[in-house]
Amino acid sequence: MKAETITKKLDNLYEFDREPVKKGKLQGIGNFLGMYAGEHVAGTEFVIGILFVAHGVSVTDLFIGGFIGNVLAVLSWALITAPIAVRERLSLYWQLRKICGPVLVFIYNIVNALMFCFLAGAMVAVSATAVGIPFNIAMPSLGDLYPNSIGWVLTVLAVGAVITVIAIMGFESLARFAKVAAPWMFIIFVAAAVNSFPKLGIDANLGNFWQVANDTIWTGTAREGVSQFTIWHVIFFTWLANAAMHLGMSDLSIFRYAKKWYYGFSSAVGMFLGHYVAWIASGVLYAAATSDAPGPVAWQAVGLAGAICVVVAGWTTANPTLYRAGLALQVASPNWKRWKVTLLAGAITTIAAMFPALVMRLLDFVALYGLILIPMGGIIFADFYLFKKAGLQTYYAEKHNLNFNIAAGATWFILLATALFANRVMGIDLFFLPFPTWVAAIVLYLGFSKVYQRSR
Amino acid sequence: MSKTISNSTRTLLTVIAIAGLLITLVPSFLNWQGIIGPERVNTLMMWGTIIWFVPAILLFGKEPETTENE
Repeated sequence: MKAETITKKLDNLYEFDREPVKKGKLQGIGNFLGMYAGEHVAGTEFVIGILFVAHGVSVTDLFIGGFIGNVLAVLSWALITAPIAVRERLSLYWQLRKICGPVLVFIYNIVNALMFCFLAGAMVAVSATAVGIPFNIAMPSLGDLYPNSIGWVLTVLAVGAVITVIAIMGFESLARFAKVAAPWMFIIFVAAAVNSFPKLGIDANLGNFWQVANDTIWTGTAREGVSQFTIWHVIFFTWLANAAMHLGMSDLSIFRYAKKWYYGFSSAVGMFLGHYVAWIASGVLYAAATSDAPGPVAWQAVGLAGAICVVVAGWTTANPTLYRAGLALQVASPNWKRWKVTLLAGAITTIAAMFPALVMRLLDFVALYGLILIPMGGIIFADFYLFKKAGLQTYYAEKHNLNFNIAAGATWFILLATALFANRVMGIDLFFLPFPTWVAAIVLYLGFSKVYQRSR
Repeated sequence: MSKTISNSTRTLLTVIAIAGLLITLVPSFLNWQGIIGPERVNTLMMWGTIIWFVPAILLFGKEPETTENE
């Protein structure tokens, strides 16, 4: 596909937000509080809390490490993402396009779309673990990487088909349903955990809570065949679970509507309800259950309401993710209509969902997702804060009408290769790579731009 | 939808929705305190779910009146 065609298609797709947000469109803090509370109590929370327990996280690791990680995440949104967003008031796409050029943004879009498909796939699988309960489907366990039964494949196919059709028919109404479901899902998380207290032997006055938590729930010993986590894993995972959104700058598109930069602190609601209370709650459920799959875990805790919650949580997370994947893929498709692109995204999502590895290795996938996209956030950070001080031109691709900013492209590709090497050859866990990669992106992009801009 | 709901109806729906959330949450605490059994908790939570969703969809699941720039 020619560069001009790509540029035209991308620009048409993002036409509606080409200009900085006007003053009259700015929104109050309530909208941001509601959005973060809703988005971060999702299907992933069921799985992450469970996986922390399986990876042998101890009580101290979870309560202190989770707290520190969430504080760091909130600070990243408030002090790094939101200030850039309210100064420039541009969506991520337009900001990147001005810096990197449309062809590099095109590649970024495709990578992002595939990541969205896999994330949606994980959520389809989460929903399938609940849908399969009445049919006695053999559920995947922690060690399963491949489909373990025909029943599982058929259940995933059915759930994936329904979710894809709904995404094609009407994303808007489901998005509204997701907002309605969010407070209820949080209540179900908490209620299910409390309902599991008697099974775990927690006294009615909470007197032995810490003892039971230590001995039975977060024991500090990983389950068989699963790697052992430390407090550092918890801190870095919690901080960088949404790395693509804060340090990776995806949420520029959200905070460009904020009246003040400090609205970035509204992310604390989502972090501490979803990524703290809900993770703790799902860990409690798992300790009291006899399954590794979220559906049966919730079913055993509170029956039908719990199973419905797992279906709804997976569904309401998968649907907007599938929609975004379709949107991002649309630029690469040969003039296909939206429904065809969404169907393609749905097919990729459903096939991915058949592999339990996507759920059982969700922590790795979430870290990888952040890692792949985070260098672009470092590039935006350098362009915004450091370029003028270093005597460099900001928005270089726009000013010089470039399709591909080689300095930005080289920064991204070299860092991805380095991260891959660090993980595969040096054995460094994925969780620890996004932050150094982000810092390295700032330094490399500055250095490459010095050479690149002077050579032109 | 919001234009067809009067203030008093809106208040009533809000009260019912909040009651739904409470009926979803409270039984688990009662089970923990040994006042009711787990089976009853499951039933009450299911009722709480229904009682939350019906008014909440009417209240919050409405089409936005103005189109946002997003």
